[in-house]
Amino acid sequence: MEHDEILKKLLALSAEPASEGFTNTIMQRIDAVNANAYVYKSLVSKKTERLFITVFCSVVLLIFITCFMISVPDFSINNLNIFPHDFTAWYNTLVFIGCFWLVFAINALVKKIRWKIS
Amino acid sequence: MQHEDDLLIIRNVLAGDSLAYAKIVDTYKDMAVSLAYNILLNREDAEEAAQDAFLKAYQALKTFRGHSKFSTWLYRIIINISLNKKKKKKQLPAVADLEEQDFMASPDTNNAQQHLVNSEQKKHIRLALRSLNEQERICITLHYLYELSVQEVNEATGISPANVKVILHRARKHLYQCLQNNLKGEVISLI
Repeated sequence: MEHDEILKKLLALSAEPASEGFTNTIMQRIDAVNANAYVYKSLVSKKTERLFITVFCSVVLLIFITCFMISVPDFSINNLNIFPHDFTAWYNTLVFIGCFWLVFAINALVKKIRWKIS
Repeated sequence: MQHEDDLLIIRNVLAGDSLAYAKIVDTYKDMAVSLAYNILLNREDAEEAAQDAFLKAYQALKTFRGHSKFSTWLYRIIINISLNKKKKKKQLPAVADLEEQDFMASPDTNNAQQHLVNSEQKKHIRLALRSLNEQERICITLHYLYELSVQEVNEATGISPANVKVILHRARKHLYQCLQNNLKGEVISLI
């Protein structure tokens, strides 16, 4: 028993104490872990988002160009008549733009809801 | 008493008061670093392993059922993390590391000569500890330094109680031999 006490004291003498900022470092790491749990994760990946934006900008640009070409009667490009001027073509374009904005609106809504929950 | 205090703090942490966890860290940080040091034999690695263990314990706090002491549960995490770290590193501790630490200033030692004597004694004890194998160091630290029972050492390490007793007996004998060879008469004068 006495030997055990001696051993305990010897081991205590060689014990390695924690550094001064030990608790703070851990609490900072815990804060970071807690914060990570509430980080917003987009429904679509960054790549897809960039692709959407590029396609959207291209469509808008094309619409502007088409409008310009239609509004200027003297402006003529060979084979312009290949481009369909009928109702279905415009309808498809509008549906595409509508779908595009719908996905973005849902994404924004989900983002807001998640933010409120956190 | 400590067990009930720990349970109360854990309940608070689980209820959302993550700052309460700092009390647990403060209570067990020295023990955690010391235990990790006795496995890794390197100060920086030990501190890192102890931090990882506290973080892992925080993340797994929901799974702690309170059947055993929190400290025993934490020691098991520390041992696992330290052993994994050691496996990854597989490096032998440099003697220079040991010597460098001995000259680190001790806050409660005013007398330089006394500090030097303490450093020398500390160095011999650590060298004796290093002569033990990993299992022996873990068991002896848990049982003698942290006063865990054989059953608790079994819970923390997974070594059977009968084996723990054998390891403790062998380690104690070996440690005394080493200390007597290195320190001679100083062992008694240390106390």
